[in-house]
Amino acid sequence: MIKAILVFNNHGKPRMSRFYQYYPEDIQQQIVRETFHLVSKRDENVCNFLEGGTLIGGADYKLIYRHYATLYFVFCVDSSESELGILDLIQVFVETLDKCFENVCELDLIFHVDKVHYILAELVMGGMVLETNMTEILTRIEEQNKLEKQEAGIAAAPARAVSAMKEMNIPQKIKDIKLPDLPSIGNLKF
Amino acid sequence: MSDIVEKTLASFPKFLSESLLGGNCKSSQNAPPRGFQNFIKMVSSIGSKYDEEQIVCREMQMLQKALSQPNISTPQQCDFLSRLVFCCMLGYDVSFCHIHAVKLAQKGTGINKRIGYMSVALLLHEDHEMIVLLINTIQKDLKSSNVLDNYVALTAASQLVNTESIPLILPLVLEKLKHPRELVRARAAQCLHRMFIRAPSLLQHHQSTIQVSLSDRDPSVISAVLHILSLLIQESPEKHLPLGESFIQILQQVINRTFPAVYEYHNIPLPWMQIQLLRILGLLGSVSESLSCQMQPLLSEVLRRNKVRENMAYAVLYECIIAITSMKQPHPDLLNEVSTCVARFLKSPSHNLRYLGIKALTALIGVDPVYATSHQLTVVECLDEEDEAIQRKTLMLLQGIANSANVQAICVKLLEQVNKSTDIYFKMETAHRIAQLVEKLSPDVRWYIETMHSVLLHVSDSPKIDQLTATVIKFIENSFEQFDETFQLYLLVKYLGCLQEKTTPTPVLKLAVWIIGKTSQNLKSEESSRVVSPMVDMLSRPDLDEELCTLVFSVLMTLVVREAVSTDDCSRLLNCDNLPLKAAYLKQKLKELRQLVKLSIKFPRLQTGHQVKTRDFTLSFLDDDVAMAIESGAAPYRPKTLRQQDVTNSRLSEAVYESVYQQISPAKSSSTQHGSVVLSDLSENSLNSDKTEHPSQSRSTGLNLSGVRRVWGQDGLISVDGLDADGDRITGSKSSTQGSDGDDKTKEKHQLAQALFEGVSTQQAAASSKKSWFTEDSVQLGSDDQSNLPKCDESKWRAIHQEHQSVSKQEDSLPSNQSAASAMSHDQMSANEISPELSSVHQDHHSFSYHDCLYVNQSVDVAVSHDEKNLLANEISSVLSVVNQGTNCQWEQGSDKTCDSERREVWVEGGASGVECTDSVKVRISETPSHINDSGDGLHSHHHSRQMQADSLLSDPSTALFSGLASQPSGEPENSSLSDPSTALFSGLASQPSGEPENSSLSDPSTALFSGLASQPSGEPENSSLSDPSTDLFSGLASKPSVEQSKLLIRYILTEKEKMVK
Repeated sequence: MIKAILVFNNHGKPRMSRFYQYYPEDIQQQIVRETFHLVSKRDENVCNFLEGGTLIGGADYKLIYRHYATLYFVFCVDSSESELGILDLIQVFVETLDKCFENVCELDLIFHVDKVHYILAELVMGGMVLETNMTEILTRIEEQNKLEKQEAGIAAAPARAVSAMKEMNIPQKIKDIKLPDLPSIGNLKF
Repeated sequence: MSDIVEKTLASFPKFLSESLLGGNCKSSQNAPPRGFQNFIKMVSSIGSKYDEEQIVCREMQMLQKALSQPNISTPQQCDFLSRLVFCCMLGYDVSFCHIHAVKLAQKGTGINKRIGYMSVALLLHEDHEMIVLLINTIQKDLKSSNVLDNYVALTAASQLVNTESIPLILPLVLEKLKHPRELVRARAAQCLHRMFIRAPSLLQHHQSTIQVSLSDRDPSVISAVLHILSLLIQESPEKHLPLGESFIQILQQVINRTFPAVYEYHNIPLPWMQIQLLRILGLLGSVSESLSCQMQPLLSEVLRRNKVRENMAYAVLYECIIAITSMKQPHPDLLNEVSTCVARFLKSPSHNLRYLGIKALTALIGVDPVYATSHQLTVVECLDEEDEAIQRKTLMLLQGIANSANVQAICVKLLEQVNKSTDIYFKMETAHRIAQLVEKLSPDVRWYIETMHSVLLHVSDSPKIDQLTATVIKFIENSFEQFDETFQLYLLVKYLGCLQEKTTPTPVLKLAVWIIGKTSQNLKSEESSRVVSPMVDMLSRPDLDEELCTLVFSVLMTLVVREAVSTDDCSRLLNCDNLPLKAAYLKQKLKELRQLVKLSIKFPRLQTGHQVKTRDFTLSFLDDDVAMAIESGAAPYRPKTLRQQDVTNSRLSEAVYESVYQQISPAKSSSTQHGSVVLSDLSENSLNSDKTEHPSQSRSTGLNLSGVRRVWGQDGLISVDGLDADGDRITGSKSSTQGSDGDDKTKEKHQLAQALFEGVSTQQAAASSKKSWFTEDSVQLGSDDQSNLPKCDESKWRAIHQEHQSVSKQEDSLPSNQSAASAMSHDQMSANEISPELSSVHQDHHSFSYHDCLYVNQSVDVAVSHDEKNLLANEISSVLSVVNQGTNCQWEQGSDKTCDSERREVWVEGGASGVECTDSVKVRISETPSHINDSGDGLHSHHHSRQMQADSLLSDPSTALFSGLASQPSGEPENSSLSDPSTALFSGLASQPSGEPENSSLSDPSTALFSGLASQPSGEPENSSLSDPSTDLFSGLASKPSVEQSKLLIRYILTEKEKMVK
């Protein structure tokens, strides 16, 4: 079972976290810190599995992680999960995010937290890996987006149009300004 | 300024291309509100935690205000909630917004509802109180005809429904298993999985419904159902064997690609489901042989099909290997296939695959260690891998292949890892593994000690280190018998070195101290300062470990008692006053130890642990006490009732006793020539003592068995002769006044005498019935008796006694209150003194349980033979009475309460078990215990009133103990009368005290106690002449402490009596 999915950047700032088992808030923060501590000191040329860490499940606890440019994607799992299976699941997750947001970046994870979690819910539910069919997930997200558009079109079309014009380039600006810190992660090695 | 212009210009072409070419409107569509952006920008640009806190708090206040406005729009609400989710992720408390999230989930529609549910799922948990508000919404959404509503509700239900609400939701979810859209069906199955984890009992009822869904045509639904079934199968694989075939079928279909091609991932059909299926099959195969036969061809096909160099293929391959190795009796061919697959993993350049390869190999050697041989080199390479994860797995592998031949090498490797690692939990785990290996496979003990020593050094800072030390101690304890002297010496030298090093960590120090205590007999006296000074240094450490401290005290006591260290060193070192002992019981220990050292300087030859050759059976040590007491004007001891009798009565009773004595002595003298000689001597002695003016001068006998007679004289005869002598000389006036009402008493006396004779006559009959086999025994044992009996060196005893007397005089010279305290602590000290001895006798049981009293209690349990128990019971009871005094006194002074009450309880327990065993003896004269019991009570009430303490606990145990003490003398003869002739005498004698209380109906409590105590030492000779294991114990116990105890007790009683008389 997957106990938690954590995404944080190279500085250990959390970008997304999802716990499938309840931990009090302070413990959650500790888990994030400890996980970052464990993962960040690993070399690039070592395996992506890591044992140890005591907070989540003691001995029956593994970290499976991938490192993309500025972001670490870490899955905390127990021994009943297949390591390589999870590793490829991370890959699927990132690819889906990338397709959804086109060159996904750190800020996309924050600003579109609902979509990120929606995608994640397609892959993992209640800590179990679901059937992972990327094309289908993407179709569903498209559906969702369409629905959203329809609703927005009916309810707030004029307001949205105005704000769209006003804020058209802001995300791009942020990406440009913060380039050293927040490079796009979309076109990286897969 | 120019910067901004530049940036604007730079972004211009992009803006143009996007808007003009129509591109996608992603950026416009997904543009987050400005406020959120600014907030994120500020938070990410800030370095310090403090500043971040400021910004986030300000933002949260703003959001709180905004969210509570009544006319807030839904998109705004979504936006604010997203911000709050971010704040929550950063670790800030956002509990104020929970209700808004719930509201949004309730009221929103479509996408907004989804955001509401999502924020609830992220911010709350299933046992949160606000979830109740959501149950209704979830129910409503589940009933909705909108697929999307169903979908979000199921997702929410899987996470947010608590155990109590599951029954409300469950029927709706089960219904959704039949929904036309596979999307909803799969979600429903997932939701059920989650619910069954929380409420497993519900699963049993719906198992059939779920199994139907296993034949769903959509793989995502099957996959979800497999999760549920694997829950069941993990619990009890045996029950679900019938399902095995359908799993095999599904797997067959999967690898035959009968499912839609969209579910392929990197050309592998449904890889995640394959993994699941292989796991389940592995579980089932481990319990069923037939099923594993059935699945073997399929598994070998899976092995063959996954030859592509894809991560996912390897993942499936790995699961397949695990499934094969876990099944019952896998086919050798299949295993060979597996072996080649493992080789593929191990030879891969990828670290991930090598990691899994090592894991797979570990599983494979679980089936047959032979397979490890072909991968030797790879394994060795993996050991030197820089990746810690792989190294650890390799160590697990090594542990799997360990046997007695390679265990040394493996342990060296493991130790290296322990040394290198910084992860404390890993270190500890590996240390335990090493301990297991070493204990199981160790070729010799020395190596074991060396290895464990280095392990302990490495992991000394770990939290569970005590377990490890305990293992080592247990091991040494168990095999200590087999250690020869050189090895013991080796241990001693090794740990002596440890003791002297300043850097030795505490756990190792504990072990070292323990081992030194254990091997102390090899300690040479010149080394004693080397032992004592580091120990005392340890005590003076500021960061003192209390356990270590208690252990040090225990060991030092043992060393002093065994004379393993020179007492001069001890006293010199211990007398420095700067020991930073905080706990009261440690201070008490120190005091005890000092007293013990003082005592052992005075009694250098009385070291126990050696066979004691000399004993004082004449109780000569009492002489001075008695003399002193009488000189200082105390009335000489006489039973209470007898004090009121006149001379004629006393003469009558004397005659009674005389006749008793004579009745026994013929039996005795007929038994053996030697015995008669002794007896005649004895009777002479008794005559002498009758005539002597002062009891203290009546101890002049150098005969071996004289002590026996003398002892009785202490209680039985003194009550008769003493009456005679005392009546004439010292309390003559008293007796003359009593003579006036002599006539009334004469009748009473006659009745009493009659009653007595009745008792004696039965006694005589019993004695004569035993006569025949007494004779036999005496022939065999008579001579042994003589030679084995210890010689009584009276002069020395006297010297010792006088020395001791001087000590007590010193004490007396102190102010009264203080002297009482010091006397009490002295009492207690001598009580505690026994414990090291006991511990040495019983091979240091519980050396690590630090309360000495536990030793004794333990010893009572351990002492199997009846004799031992009797003795111990007696020992303990006498000790208890002393301790009781000490305790009460201490309480009065308000010193450490808990420690002593605890101790006393243990004593009581020990005493009680002693009483139990004495009760089991057939007590010949059943009245005796009750009499003495009464007197015990009486004594206690004196004691009680003196202490002026209403301690109800005290009265019960003391009664029990006194009865235990009292039944001792009567029980003992019965027990020992079977073995040797001298016992016959004893049985006769023992009947005497029983008669006496009758005679002197309810005599003075002290009489009873005297009889109990006095017969105790007299019981020793016969026991020591027997060559049974109890001898050691006797010699260990019976010498100084018991004599000390009885002396103390007697002295106490004398003072009591004095008071009473006054």
